[in-house]
Amino acid sequence: MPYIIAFAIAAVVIAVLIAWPVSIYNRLVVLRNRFQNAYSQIDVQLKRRYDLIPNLVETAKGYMAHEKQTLEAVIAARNQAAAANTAAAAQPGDPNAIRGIASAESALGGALGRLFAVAEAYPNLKANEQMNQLTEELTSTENRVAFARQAYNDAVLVYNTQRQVFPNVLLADAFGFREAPLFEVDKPQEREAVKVSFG
Amino acid sequence: MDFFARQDRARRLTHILVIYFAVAVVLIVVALNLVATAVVNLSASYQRTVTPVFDAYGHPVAATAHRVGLWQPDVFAYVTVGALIVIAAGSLYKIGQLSGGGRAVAGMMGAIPVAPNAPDPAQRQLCNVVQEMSIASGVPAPAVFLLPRERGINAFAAGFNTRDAVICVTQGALEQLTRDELQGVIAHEFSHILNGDMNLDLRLVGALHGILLIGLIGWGLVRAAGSDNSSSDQNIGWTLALLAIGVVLMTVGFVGLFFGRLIQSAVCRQREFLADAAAVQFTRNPGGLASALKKLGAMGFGSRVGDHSAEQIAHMFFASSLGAEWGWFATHPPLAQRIRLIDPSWDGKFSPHPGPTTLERYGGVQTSTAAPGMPLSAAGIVGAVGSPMPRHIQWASDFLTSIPPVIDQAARDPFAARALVFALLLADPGPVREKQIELLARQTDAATLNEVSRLAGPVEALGARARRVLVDLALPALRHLSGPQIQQFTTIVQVLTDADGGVSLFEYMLRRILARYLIAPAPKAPASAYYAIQPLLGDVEVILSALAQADGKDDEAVTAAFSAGVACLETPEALRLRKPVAIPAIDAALDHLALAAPGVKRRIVNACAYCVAADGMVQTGEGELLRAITTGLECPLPPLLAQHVQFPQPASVAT
Repeated sequence: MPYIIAFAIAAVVIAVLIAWPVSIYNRLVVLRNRFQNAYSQIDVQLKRRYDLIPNLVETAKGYMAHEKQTLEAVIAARNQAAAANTAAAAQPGDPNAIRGIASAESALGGALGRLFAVAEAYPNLKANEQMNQLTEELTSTENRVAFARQAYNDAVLVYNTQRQVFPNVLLADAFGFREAPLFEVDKPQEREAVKVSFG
Repeated sequence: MDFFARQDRARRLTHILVIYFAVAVVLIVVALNLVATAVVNLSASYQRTVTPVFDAYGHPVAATAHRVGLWQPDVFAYVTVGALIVIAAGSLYKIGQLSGGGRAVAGMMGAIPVAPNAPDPAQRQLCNVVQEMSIASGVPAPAVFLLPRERGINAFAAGFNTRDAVICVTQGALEQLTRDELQGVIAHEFSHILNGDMNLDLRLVGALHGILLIGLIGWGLVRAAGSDNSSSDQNIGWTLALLAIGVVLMTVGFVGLFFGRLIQSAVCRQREFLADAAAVQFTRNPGGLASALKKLGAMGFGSRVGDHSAEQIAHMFFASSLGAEWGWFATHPPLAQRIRLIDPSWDGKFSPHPGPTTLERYGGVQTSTAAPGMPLSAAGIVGAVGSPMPRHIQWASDFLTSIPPVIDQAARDPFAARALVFALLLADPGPVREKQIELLARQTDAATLNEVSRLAGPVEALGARARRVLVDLALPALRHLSGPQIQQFTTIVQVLTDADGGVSLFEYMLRRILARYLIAPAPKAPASAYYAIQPLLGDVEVILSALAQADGKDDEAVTAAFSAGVACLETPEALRLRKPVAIPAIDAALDHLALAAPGVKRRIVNACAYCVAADGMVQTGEGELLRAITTGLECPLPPLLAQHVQFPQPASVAT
């Protein structure tokens, strides 16, 4: 029965042809899960930051009554960033969502930077115990956000590389694996501005 | 039945699974062959009657091309090979998908990770309960996941072994259960982790997918035929053919479904009773688990899980994820029966119960009545493996509340958890510590260094005994590090431990834990390679020598401890005390011993216990080394609580 042997060989070839894309698919799913899960740490840290900021503004309000605009700008930027973060946490692989939170974070960093710059002119505020504590906590959270972002970007990088190597690149788009966005805050000088300390 | 017997039982069940699977495959192939033979015969007779073939003279001839008969070798070969390929491909596909272990299962179900530093108090509480149970039982905390869209009350544990285990609960469980109830559910899942049930569970998923695939293909064809809207005659013919093939495959697929459910229920139903019993034993609080089960029975959503992947892992869940089930095919025992076994006084009514009040949910730990004290004897140590007692959970809970908030918060946060481990490695103030700080400054950023200096004081205040537990506590947060971050972290750990030129027992344990649980969480459990103790005697010699000398006792005590350990091995060969024992030798010996079968491991752990208990005291060094050994053997040992131990007569150990 030679044709049965031929059939068996054909069957094995077909099985390999099925198993090969399946293994690529599985690998990409694992890596996608990994970077999406990595966003959860960013989410935790950002939420903590968004909780701190209203307290900070509330404390500062008592000392800088004339800087209402600056304070309101911080709150507005905070609210916008919180909304953008909620959207990104729901869709950690969506380029628009990540771009949204990245730019909202940059804007918030800028607003906070201006607040701290203005605060330099209020020695009483700089001496306030609670203000110092909040600033310290904010700085520490800032470090943690950066650390969590690094972990997320590392995971995205691994995923994107796996997506682009041959032969995965032939199938990735067909399976619906889109290129994942890196989470980068565009203006580092504005981010640094938060590090102003009252010590 | 102790830990080792339960491990053996899990392995035996795996063999039963293989037999069921083989029978299911054979029956599916037979069924497909019957159908195919029938189709060939029918179409042959159809061709004969409807389109008679005429020879050159106009006489009808029999369609010789279509041989008719029950035995058709060609058809048999095609169908059999085809069916086997589909089944094998289905199983291999699933096994490949799940080679990532517990996290892969969580990912398949669409679960999201719960960070130990999550802002939501309910999620934090869940992490605390898991943390408590893990400290009490001596396994590093499994990663915690949440099924955010499921309103039913359910949970599952998945993984190949304790290294890659995950515990996953539904949002409904998080919202509806009080702390006590949640503790009961988590204790139930821990018993699956400790008993080696999870490994079998994962294999089962792979096998099931293979035998369910034929039915799934049939279902896919039927749907494709249904959505076909074209109206030309030829297409209708095609659609009908698709529909027919689909229906046939689905019918045959029922054989797969039948056996799939049979396997799931055979493996699982009995086990759920065991896990319930274990949960009550761990927590000594039948109320929590019973009330969780009652709540589940009273609720509209019950324990149902809507995700379509839930069918495949139905056997892993805490309670039935499929809704109503009956008889042979139930993956779980009836709810009422489970409740009655825990709470015989139950009136059989599921009274609708409102969600917990805030006080109830976040109230203190109601860890039941005082547990009767169990004198810690050598026999007690073997019995304690894989079976945390209520007092261990109480101890864990007390320990967790006793650590200062600074450290607690640091252990929950990936960024600060690294600093916590660095702080644990700092030597006493002196030149070595200064060198370590200088190395840290060179290798890390200022923020991390700040964090280390902030934690150094409180860590020192906690004392040596807490260090090992703090490492376990920090592991879940450390798991959130990315590959490059882990690499940087372990490099620094290496540099810090090398700073004083030697490796202490704690440093060795830390490196081993990090290597096993963080760097290469090798998912697959290696098969047992040793079913007798003889080939391992050299390694046992090393371990017992190290244990006997762990605390710098005098020669006489060392010899006594060593011989106490050797005596209960009851082997004809003589073992020789080795001194001194270097840490790399212990490491190599543990790697070998890890491959022993459960019965052999039981004898080894027993010998170690007698060696430690020889002088009636458990010293710090002995205790730490014993934990290191049991961890290396994958025999999780709860914390040794009493400092004084009884010295019992060596009892012979059944293997």
